[in-house]
Amino acid sequence: MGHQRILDRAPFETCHGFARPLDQRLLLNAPFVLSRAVEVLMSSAPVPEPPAPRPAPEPFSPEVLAELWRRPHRLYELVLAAPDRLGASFARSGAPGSCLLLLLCGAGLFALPYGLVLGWDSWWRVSVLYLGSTLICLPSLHVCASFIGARVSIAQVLAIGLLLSAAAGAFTLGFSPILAFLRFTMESEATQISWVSISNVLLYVALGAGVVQLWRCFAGARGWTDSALFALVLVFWHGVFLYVFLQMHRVLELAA
Amino acid sequence: MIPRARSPWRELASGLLGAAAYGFALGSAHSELYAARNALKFPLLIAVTCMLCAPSTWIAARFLGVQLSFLAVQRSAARLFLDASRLLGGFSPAIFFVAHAARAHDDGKLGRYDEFLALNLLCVALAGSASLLRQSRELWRAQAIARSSARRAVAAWLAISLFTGGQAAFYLRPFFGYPASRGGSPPWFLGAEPDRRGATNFYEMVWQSLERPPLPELYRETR
Repeated sequence: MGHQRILDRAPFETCHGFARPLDQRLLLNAPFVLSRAVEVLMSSAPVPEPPAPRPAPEPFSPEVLAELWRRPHRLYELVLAAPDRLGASFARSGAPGSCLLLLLCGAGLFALPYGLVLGWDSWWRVSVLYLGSTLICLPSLHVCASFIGARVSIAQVLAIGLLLSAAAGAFTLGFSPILAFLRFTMESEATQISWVSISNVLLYVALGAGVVQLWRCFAGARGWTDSALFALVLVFWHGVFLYVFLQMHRVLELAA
Repeated sequence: MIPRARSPWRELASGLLGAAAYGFALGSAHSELYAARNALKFPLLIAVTCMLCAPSTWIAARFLGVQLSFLAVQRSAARLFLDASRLLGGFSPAIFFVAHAARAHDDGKLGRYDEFLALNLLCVALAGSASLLRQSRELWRAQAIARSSARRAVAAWLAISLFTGGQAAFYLRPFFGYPASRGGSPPWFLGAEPDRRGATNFYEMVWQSLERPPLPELYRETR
């Protein structure tokens, strides 16, 4: 009965005003018949509930930030584990000073072991590479954001820049034993790929991780500013930042 | 699937034993000397790689949303190796037999080196993939971590381990050896000594296998 009902409602095609034979009509209208059949079958099935919207991330409370000063080895929690919560914190309270200071400490300290692996006299170079490039480029981000009318404070701009540096620094900390091993086992005058080339690749991987973390933080900061416009500015800013980073890499003689 | 050992120490012991057995079987294609050395060198390779990658696996896990402690991440990452080692240990009687069969009939020059190498690559790939799948499932089920995060974290651990373990394996060479190199007293580790194409590290070797430069003059006439 159901099939007949569907077929009755199918719009029969005509050719030069004459009705076509039934089997030909069925063939021509097969897509319509099938879609109607699926519609009829689905109408009796229970409609699946749409997935629940993700709850908005909770910002870090001042107590949690104070706790990090007492246990600095848990600074990773702030830098790596919850970028969306960090974004929510920046959006709600406009990047508190203690949070900025923690990120600055992270950006400065995490990269020190990698610098030490590069050489005793190079302990500062990797920290300066990330932190210096970021700090040089942050004014341009703030000015461009203000120019297009995005309401972002200096503290918020500073916070996302420091997060990039701190996340990249955290990755270099993880890579430092690997680089030490490579330095120990590889010929310094290798003709094609030396440990310095591998080190440069690792520094860029860490930079990539920092950029990803910046965007995650930005995604978590709902209602921070005019998101679409600021995202556009951030994309362009990455170009400027990458160029400065390359120059800084050269100036610090890390490629040699 | 292999049942999980009862305690972490047993798990560690069974993994290292599996690695030793596989190393022994692998080296027996060349000589007893290589077999005995590989029984020590293979577990050493796994231990060194695990230790070097420990901080980066943890940082990668935190970055990818795996909320586990440093020790829990190390346990999970080490299980990747231990599971693979136990699986390879299971293959070792078959590899031992194939190695001896090849050795009995080789020509004393290249023998069935390429065939044996391909077989072992297949075994390592199979064991690695199986342990990878298992570990991501365990993270997802036992540790209640989102499936996508678990997969990404385990894939990142594998990439970091391959990147580091490749160079460790290059440094700890020789594991196989051509039949032509039997006899004499080869060193325990060749270290940064260049291979036949002149590569002095793992990354150069990979680069050369992609670029395929010609062999140096010295080796051309042996082919």
